[in-house]
Amino acid sequence: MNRTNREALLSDLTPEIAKTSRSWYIVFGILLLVFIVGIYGLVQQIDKGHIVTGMRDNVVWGVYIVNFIFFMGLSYAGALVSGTLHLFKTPWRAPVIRLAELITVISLAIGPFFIFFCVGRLERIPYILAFPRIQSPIVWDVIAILTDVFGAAIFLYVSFIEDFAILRDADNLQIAPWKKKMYRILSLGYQGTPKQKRILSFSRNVMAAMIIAIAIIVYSVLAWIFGVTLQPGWHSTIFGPYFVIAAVFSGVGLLIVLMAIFRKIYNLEKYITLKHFVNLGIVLFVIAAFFGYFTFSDYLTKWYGSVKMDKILIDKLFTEFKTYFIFANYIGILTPIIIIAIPRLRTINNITIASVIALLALWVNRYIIIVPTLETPFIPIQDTRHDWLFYSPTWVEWSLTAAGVAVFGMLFMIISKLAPIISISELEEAAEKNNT
Amino acid sequence: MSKASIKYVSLFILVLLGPGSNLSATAVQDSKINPYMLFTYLKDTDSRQILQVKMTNITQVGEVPLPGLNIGFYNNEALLGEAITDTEGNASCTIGSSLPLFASEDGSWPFSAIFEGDSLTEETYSELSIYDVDIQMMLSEEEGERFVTLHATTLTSDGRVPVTGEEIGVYVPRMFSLLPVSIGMLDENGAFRIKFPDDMPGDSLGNLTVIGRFNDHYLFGNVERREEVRWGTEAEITAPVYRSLWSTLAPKWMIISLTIMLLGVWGHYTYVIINLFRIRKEGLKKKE
Repeated sequence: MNRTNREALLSDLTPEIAKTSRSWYIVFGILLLVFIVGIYGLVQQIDKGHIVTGMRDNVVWGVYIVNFIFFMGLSYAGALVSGTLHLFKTPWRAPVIRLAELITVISLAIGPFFIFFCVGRLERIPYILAFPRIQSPIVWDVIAILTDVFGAAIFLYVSFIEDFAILRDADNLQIAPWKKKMYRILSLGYQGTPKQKRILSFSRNVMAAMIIAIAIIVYSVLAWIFGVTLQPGWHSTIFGPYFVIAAVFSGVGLLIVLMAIFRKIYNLEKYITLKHFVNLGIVLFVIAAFFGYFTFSDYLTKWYGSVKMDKILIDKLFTEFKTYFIFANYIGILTPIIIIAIPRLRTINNITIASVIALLALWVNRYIIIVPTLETPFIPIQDTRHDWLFYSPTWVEWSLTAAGVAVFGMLFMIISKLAPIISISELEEAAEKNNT
Repeated sequence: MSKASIKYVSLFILVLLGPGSNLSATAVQDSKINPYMLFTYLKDTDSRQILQVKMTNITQVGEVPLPGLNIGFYNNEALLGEAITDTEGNASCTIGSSLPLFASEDGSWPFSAIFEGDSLTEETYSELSIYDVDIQMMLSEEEGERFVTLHATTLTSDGRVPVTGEEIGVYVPRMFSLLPVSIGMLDENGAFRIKFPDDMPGDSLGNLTVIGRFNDHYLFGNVERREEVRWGTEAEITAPVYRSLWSTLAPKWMIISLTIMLLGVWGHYTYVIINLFRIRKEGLKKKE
């Protein structure tokens, strides 16, 4: 590798590792404050019980489960995107692949906590591992998530080794001694010998293939938790692929939003260009079309089936939840399609706005999958109090939701202090290929 | 037709139909149930004589049992006993063994069951004429084969004589009804002999009940003799395994699929972790 080129890359991509700006502290402080409010909400919930949430006998899954599915979806999408970009050696992958990998691991670290918030008797959680019942989809999910956590962590670490070695060898980098020591340990003595390169490349390929497969299986398992029940709206054979498509849709949307944020705050305009936004925008366009197709197919067959409970549910979606339904299944799908389809509209800002809308629409989509179904029980409960029949999230649930988003941001910020947010080794490799 | 004619015709139709409709509605409201009484006689294996009645209302949707009806059982004109129909519409009366029964000139016992009616149900009755008969049943094994022999006798003025030329059967009780093993005619000695099949399912030990029976006979009613014998094949009783989250074990296909998937995935993880050690080892070698 050309020494000057590497120094230029280090100079552009490592300033945040070497020093911390005031704005970093301010943003981190705000996120920390949001996190603390969430912790206060959690303390309230533990102290007073689930009565402080909007969940009751009918609607036992609310915003917590929506967040769980949403974050897990982001994680699997990150895995699918990064794995695919790597495995197929996509030429423009270098500036975005690290972000996708980080989305995978960070979302995966946050998502399961929402299950813990939703479960009433936390002390019983170890029983799932101590006395597992393999026939329970919940146990499948636990096994799948644990497998995914390990896989994503290994994939991320393997992709970081070359960068750790570069940072270890960067003499001009003014960083704390503990960071140098950390890079020395984590780089595993990687010197870039042909044998090391061959082993590392093969390992990355293996892990990329594995996490693609795991992401599909694991998110399908999550979908089957709904699909194997007989609940109206959930008992669907296409729920597995539908969830996977939805996950990729939201994940690509988040990737574009993060690209826009980091491009702006870390001055990465030179590396993350309009080309990357358009390329990912086209992926978003295709996935939006597929997602729309699956959504239409799912509701059309239910509507034609005229099964009593499905009919009640669909009537409910078209009346009480019509605003959510229109936003999730029309605006959320059509906006990215229209923006990407018209070349004149393909600007960084427009694509980012379309991604934000897609991301929010996907969250609402999860909400209208879960809540209306639970508000349509086969046997109505005796208690007819309004809040027992109809779900409405409380401030405790919103505070913990906001805390989850805040932690996502904080973890990204912390990692950006430890390693470059864009892979230096990938950029070097891309530059070498361009030179040859 | 003039307007006046139409007016008078309409008035006539109204007068004719109006009260008529009301009357027919009242008739429907006031009509009583016309019950159907099924009256049978059973002499069981312990020689107890039981008179049985089933009261039903036959409607367009089927037979509806009539519970709570008081039935009187009579021998000629002597009251033998009374019973109230249960939820299935059944009532029965066991005739005391010491009770002398009136016999008609031909030697048969005239029985009758009478329901005297109430505010909702019409009165009804039914009669039976029964000749007394005894069945002896013999179960035997000869050269590895099993036989059932029935002998039927009846009491006449000449004493106990064999019953000949009447239909009798060998049955085995199954879940819902009696399974006829063989039905045939009594010979001149009043005997009926059959070879019992060796593949008849029994309980878990191979036990089953063999019944020799006059079944709904026009002269004798229902008369039977039962005996339990280990002639059946042993039923393999296994608890049905239903798909459920609380079943003891997951289905084999699930365990196998999950094991293959997990071994595949974790095997690859292990391989990559080993590769990391190889990278480290190579780095140390280069350093030296």
